[in-house]
Amino acid sequence: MGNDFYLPEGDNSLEIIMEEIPEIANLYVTLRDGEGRALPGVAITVNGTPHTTDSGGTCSFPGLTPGLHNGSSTKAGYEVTSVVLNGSPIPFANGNF
Amino acid sequence: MNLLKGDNNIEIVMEEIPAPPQGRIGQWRYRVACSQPTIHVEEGNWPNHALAFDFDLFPSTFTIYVRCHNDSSITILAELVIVDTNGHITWQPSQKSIGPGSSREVNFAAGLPRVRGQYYFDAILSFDGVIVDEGRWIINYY
Repeated sequence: MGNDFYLPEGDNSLEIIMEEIPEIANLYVTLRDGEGRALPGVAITVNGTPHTTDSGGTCSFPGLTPGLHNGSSTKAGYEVTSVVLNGSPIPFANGNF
Repeated sequence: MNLLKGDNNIEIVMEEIPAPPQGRIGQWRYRVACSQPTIHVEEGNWPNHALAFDFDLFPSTFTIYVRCHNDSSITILAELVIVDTNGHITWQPSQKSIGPGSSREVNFAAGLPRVRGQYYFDAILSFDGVIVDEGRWIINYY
């Protein structure tokens, strides 16, 4: 949305500075077990930064750069059996995706 | 994973890794008999069966007979623990390997002094170190 400004008679100089808005990607994680129950207290790591799922089995990684990232999920006695990103299954191996 | 600009939702499913079998595997058939004379023969299935015997004559030997109904070989460690009336403890371990569908006998020679009184035979049978059955024979020797 622009602002009105007054141009006096004669020459007027207008300088405009524009900066690129950084593109960010927010990642919202939902972790469940094979029965669909939330898994709280599980470490989820993205690019080496660990977060822990809350009581609802969720955690988030805001402000990431769009593009490729490394993620992992580990819990003693459990193994990752499915990873779906934005509705599409993605490859995973040994808890890494 | 390839994150797009804006919000991305990832759903992860983790399932519990089944624990490995711990000793109580399948069905095991057993029969216990003493040799002189055969006062009592006990048969049953593991698990869910406790051994319990009463002998009224003193046995010199007895045999634990085990048949494997599993698909894998396993080692049986049978221990006979004898506690006499003086509190003396002797024990005889015997270890056998048993294959799928086969059976083995584990023999013990009790070798107790023939002293009148009451004796206890504690038999402990374990598979791969895990006790699956144990029982006490109470023997009154007069």
